[in-house]
Amino acid sequence: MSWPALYAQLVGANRHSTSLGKIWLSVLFIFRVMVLVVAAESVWGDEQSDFTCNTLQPGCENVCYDQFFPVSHIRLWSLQLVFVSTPTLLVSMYVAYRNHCDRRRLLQGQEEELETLKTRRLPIVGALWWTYFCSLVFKMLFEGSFMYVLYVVYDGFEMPRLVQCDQWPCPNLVDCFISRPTEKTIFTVFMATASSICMVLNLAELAYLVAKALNR
Amino acid sequence: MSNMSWSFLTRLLEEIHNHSTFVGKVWLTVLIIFRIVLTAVGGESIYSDEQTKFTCNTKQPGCDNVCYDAFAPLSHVRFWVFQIIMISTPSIMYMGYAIHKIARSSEVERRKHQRLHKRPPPHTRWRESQPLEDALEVHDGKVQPVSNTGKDPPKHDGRRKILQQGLMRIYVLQLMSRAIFEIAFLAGQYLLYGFRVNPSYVCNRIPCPHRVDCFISRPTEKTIFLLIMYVVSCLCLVLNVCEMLHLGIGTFRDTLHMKRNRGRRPGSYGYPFSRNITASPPGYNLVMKTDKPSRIPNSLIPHEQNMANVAQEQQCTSPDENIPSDLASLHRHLRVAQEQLDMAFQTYQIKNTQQTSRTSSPVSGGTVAEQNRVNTVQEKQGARPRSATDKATTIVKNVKTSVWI
Repeated sequence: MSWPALYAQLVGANRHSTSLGKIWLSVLFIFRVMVLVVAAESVWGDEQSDFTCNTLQPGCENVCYDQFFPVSHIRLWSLQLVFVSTPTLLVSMYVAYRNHCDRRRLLQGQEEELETLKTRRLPIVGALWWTYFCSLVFKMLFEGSFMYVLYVVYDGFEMPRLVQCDQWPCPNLVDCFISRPTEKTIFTVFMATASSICMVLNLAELAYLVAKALNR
Repeated sequence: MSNMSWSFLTRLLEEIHNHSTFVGKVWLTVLIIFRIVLTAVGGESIYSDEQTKFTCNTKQPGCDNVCYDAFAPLSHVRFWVFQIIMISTPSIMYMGYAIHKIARSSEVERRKHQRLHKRPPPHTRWRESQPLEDALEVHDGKVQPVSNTGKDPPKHDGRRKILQQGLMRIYVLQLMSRAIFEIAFLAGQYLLYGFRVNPSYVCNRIPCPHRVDCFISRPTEKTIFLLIMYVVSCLCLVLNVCEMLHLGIGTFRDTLHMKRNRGRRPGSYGYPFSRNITASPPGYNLVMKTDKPSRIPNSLIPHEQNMANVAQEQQCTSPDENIPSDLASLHRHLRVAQEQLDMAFQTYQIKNTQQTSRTSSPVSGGTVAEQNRVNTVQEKQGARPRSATDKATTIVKNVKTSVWI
């Protein structure tokens, strides 16, 4: 997962966000991406190698692991972060389009204005407002749906210590033990909390945009 | 991959460097070097095999997993990662707030100038907030954490500058929340892990058939590391407390000075440029030098006060305050200085009408050299030369040449 590339894309769009948007970006990178990369990946690193079942039957562990972990948490969170960051790119695409139009118009005029084009900050009105609004709505949708998917696939945010499995080729109902269940629960709860904070920030930003538009 | 994530945080923390007091910078350095580097480097190598080498005295499958989970609900390394993130958070939030506030105040200043002079003053093109915001921004896909036009980023560090920007309250709040988090994590570390990692752990959870002994890998190394991190946490806490004391004592001393100077005020108020003015506007002393030699109380007057005293009459501020570092007010001060220079020049001309042809250049050359010497002596002795004030002195020197030539 190339997080630096994503980071480079997002901070470019950061200039045109509101202050809440900037806070959202910081929360995203510090509390979610950083924690994911630095800590969570090492917790889930041995999730299959240390998944032991109470049987010597070959293949039983693989099958049972696959039954209980169709998608690993780490992959789900990485996907969630990528999807949640994507609507911001909508905004930067729109800004780039506007700059392109203005640049063409300005090329017939002064040359020095071209420099300010790159560094200016567009006010959030009109079409940019709608783009921003849509991006926020999509962000919230993605966050909510990924949290829901996690909740449904793993039956809550808690990781059980023991799961029972009787898929073929396991000979009978075997007990299988998950590695580091408590640590995984702690991290799942932490990431769910960070997701909700991001959702609350998005909601607040939405309300702020609407209020600003109504004031105008 | 994790190096990249740590570098993101360290880059942000370096930006905070420009917004802290001296003790704050020391704290930051301790944080980065001792905690982040130690956690990343030591944690990786010591704790990498903590589960694979955790063996229990039984062949029962699953017993290892369950007993490891009971022994370490949260591993040391992850705990320290949480600790570092939580402790950096107040500083990062303060930095965001400071940048926001400084950007807003420079916007207000710019608009005020535009209204007053009906033309954009020369400093608007250099937006103060721009280099600060660039810490979180990218230009053309390349990350430029410091500045975009090659200028030095404006430093709002040091207790006085923080005070002037009106950020002191939030700064203290940030310090206190840092201290609270530090104490909370220290307590949590003690409750969770104690002071020692025992080599063996007794476990009686299902499916272990009975009470089994489980053995931890590298317990001594982990104990040493745990103790080191305790010491570093306590050191950071002590630095926090020192910083709060430093702020408190400094503010107390400032108020004392202010009270003392308020008593001294009536004497020097009649004459706007008291003997405190030595170097700026330097041209002015050319005028006054013939009348009375200016005595420089070197111990008391730092370099910045020369500029501050230029605007003393207008602002009625205590000479102990530093000049504001934004270029806007600097330009204002320079304009005032120039007006006073013109006035003083006129009085000088009136005074010395009888004197023979005293061409400006040789005299100014000689006294300028002397003045420069005086300036450098002053700078060496007490001042903390800052880039803005250095620029100011060069600009003032240019002003002087424009007056005399």
